[in-house]
Amino acid sequence: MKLRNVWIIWAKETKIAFASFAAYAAFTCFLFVSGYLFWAIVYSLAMNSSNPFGMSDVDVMQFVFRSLVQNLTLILLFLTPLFTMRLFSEEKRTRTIELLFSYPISDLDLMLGKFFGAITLMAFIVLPTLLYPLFLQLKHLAQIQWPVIFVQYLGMFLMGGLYISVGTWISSLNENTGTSFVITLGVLLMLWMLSWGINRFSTIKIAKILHQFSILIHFVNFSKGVLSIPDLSFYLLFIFFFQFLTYQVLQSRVWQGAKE
Amino acid sequence: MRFSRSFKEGAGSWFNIVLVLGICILIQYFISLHPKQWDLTKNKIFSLSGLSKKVLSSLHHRLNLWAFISPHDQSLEELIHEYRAASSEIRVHFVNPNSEPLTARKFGITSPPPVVAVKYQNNPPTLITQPDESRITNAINLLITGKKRVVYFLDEPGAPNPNSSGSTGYSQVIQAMTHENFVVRNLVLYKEKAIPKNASCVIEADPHYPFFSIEKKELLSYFHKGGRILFFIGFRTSPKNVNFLKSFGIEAGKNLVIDADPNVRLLGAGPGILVANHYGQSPITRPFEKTNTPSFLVLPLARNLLPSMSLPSAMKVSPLVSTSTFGQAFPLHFQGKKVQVTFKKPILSGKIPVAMTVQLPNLKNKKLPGRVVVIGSGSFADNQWIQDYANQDFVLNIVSWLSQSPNTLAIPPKNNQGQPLILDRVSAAQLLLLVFIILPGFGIAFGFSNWIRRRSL
Repeated sequence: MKLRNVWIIWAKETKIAFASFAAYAAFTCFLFVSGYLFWAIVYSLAMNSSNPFGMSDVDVMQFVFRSLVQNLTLILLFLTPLFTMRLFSEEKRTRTIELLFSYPISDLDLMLGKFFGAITLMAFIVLPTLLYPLFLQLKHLAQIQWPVIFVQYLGMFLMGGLYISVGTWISSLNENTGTSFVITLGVLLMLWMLSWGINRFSTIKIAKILHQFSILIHFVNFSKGVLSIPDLSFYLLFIFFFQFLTYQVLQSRVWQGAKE
Repeated sequence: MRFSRSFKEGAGSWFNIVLVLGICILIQYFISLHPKQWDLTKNKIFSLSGLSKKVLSSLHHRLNLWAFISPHDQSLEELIHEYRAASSEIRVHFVNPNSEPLTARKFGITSPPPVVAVKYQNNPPTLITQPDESRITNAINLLITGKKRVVYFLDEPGAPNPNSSGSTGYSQVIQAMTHENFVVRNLVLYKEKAIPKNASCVIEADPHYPFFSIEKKELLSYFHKGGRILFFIGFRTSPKNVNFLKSFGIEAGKNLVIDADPNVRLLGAGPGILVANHYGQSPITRPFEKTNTPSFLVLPLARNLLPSMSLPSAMKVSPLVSTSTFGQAFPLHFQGKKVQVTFKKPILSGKIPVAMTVQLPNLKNKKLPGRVVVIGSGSFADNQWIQDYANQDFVLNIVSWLSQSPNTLAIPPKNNQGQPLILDRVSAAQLLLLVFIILPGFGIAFGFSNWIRRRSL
């Protein structure tokens, strides 16, 4: 792996992403919806605070930002397939992938460059929401605990990274961007809903095991502001595994169709 | 048999995928066996207290913890996870008692959820009703140290036999106390002449016949030396014994207390059955403040209590349970063994206390001060009434509070650092501007400039 090659691919991906109108549309939609959510949560808390029978001493970090990041990860679930659908599918459809393979760039460099390119796009969309806690602090409306915000956003980035790694793998399997989008969305929704029907109270053993693979359960600690090593390792290993799958798909062109 | 290169490479690729998946699962499994976490909240609201961590650090064997909680009880589930994260010796099992009633029955659970059961080494499981950090940690501490809290039921002539399983016996509450790791023994005080030194507390349930002078002397001396006593006082309690309560700073009225609150009457109890859910500020009733816990008490034939007129200044008497403001007390007339109530005119009305706590000032030798709890209902905890509403939890809370010793770990409730959020008109307008105009506006502006730039190429 050469970092310079990764950088080149990353620069290319970022340039393409920011040249397309889709990135700005996603940016605008995401910030509009997240802004509405933030406003609704803050407004309901403010209404409660001024109500003598309401919750007067609610922890802002938990009430506002915990629910906000939980909702933002769901919105990201719908947006991320838009970033990842064209990573490899578009290259395959336009046959530019052959050109990429002809460059002195390894499959690993290519995969990592594209992965970090998508992460950069996600960061471009997500990071402006940090202005919400900053606003509350500057206006002296709440005491913001920045370490908690850091952990919550770390969790959100890991969750986003997980979405992107799944999307990258699915994109590497398809030539059609539409198909990549639908399959990625379906797989991510399945992973999201894994904890709905089953929980740790389930009497069925397989359900208890499946529960350990729920991407939602591992997000709970991050959303609270608790940095937990098992949760951190879950996301990192999940990302690593799907990146490995993508690498295997890229490598398969070497031996697919070979007779001897 | 010869395989093509494609087949070999393909099989190798699949093998690699399965191998990497296996390694990932193994790594995650080993990491989750020794979970480590950092609570970055200001007041460490998602961490156990230092005392709890200290207790858990002395665990040298596997401790199994069963949480019989509703799947919606998120705060308790998080607390249980904090225990799991604090020690690798703790194994947690979540059980929904509604979907697994047999498991709950196996543990002898009769209280509504939440209940936590802890098992350490060869000890039978200890049940913790209304669990919070303080209760769970103290239960674990007792299991580790092997110390037992011994409760003595005073066995008096004429009083119901504590071990009887009949409606006037106390076998059910004794069983519940045993499940909570108490050792319950009977004591015939006039024979033994002294309360054993290992007594955590003494229970005197509805004594029908007057105490002997030696019993009175011993009970008073025990109290002033830091002893703990729970009295149940009913209609049939000997008037001399009721009079004896004045030595503890409590007087019991000769009346029947009812609550005319229409909300309480909706529960369907007759006039002789007082249903109460108004509590004083006490650690005994603090768990009832949680909204998901049933907090009604059923006090059959309750009589009112009040601080004694000749109360020694050092004693602190506090109401524990009262009626609502609709409470009324009607006079009782004793005619031999018969008791009559006249419902013409109440002699008391308003908030009437029916259970009280008495506490002596702190002792100098680091021992905890004497404590007394009096409940103005003789049959409150007998087999007929103990399972009604929160009666059993209430008695267990009282016995836990009375049994506190200098070794009991005082774990304060977590400070959630709440603060009101006051959004004035200017701030609200600025917030609206930021979230709906400025931030999304940047996206539109960047997109538009990009579109113009691309058109000009």
